[in-house]
Amino acid sequence: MVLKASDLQAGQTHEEVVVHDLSRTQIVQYAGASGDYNPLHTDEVFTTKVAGYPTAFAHGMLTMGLTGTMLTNWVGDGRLTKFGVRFVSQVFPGDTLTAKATVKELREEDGQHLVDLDLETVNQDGKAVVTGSATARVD
Amino acid sequence: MVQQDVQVTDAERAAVEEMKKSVGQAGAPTRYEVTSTDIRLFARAVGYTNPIYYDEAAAKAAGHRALPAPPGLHGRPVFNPANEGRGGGGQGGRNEHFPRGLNGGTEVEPIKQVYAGDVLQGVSTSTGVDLMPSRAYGRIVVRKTETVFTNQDGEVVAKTRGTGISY
Repeated sequence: MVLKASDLQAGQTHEEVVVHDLSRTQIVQYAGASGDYNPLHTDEVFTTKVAGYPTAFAHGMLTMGLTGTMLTNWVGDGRLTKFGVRFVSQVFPGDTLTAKATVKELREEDGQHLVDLDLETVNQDGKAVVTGSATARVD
Repeated sequence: MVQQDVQVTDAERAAVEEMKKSVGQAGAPTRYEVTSTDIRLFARAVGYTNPIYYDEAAAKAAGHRALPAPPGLHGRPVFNPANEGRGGGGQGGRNEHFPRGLNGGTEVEPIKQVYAGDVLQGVSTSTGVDLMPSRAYGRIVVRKTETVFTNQDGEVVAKTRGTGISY
């Protein structure tokens, strides 16, 4: 599915639950898939006893990837021209995350229709864990 | 210059000044291989259900020449134990004074679709090093980098800008 500029307007939103009850297994899967073996994400003893966190937590890039699934599900594959995030709060095992995109602006550049989006992914308490922005080509 | 209102030891301040010498300098190129297995692993880990990330026939039916890499995946650095510090993941840019790290943020600029079978070269350039106060850790070092990924045909396929936090 490809979005059409004519179907979009500023302020329009799209949101999806991108993970329900995040498992430690999924965090370990991401560690293997990304090659990021920072023990803060997988080693409970190191994370709690040495680093002082309440528990191991998800890679920021896993949360970015989860947010990315919402984007590509909505705008279509190969349509993103920019995708940037800030990791504003940690994501822990058991969290349920909802990613939301809000249309900021529709514009044309070099003959292409583009949509600028504001992004926010929140946990089950409504607390933002990721904020950011994206730009995608639309028809 | 290091901010004067951040409480640091002389050794830590010296370490940050040393890190700052890298700003503007490009690191050695790193080879990234993009395999179908990597794409499937990544897609599964972040929850993609679209078959184009798993099934070559579905990918080709959708107009792709092979499994496409999802946004943000640029393959995996080729691990070689002979190249100290490469391929281990999660430890780059830190030292004895700031041994731990977190990812503060990432921006991806996809320029050309990356596919299974591509071999990329990534070159990272340090674009900033700043010592800053932190409520959680007292002081942190914020390191900014830009990485340019080029494929086997010499085409730039993506740029990423990252913010790393060391403490």
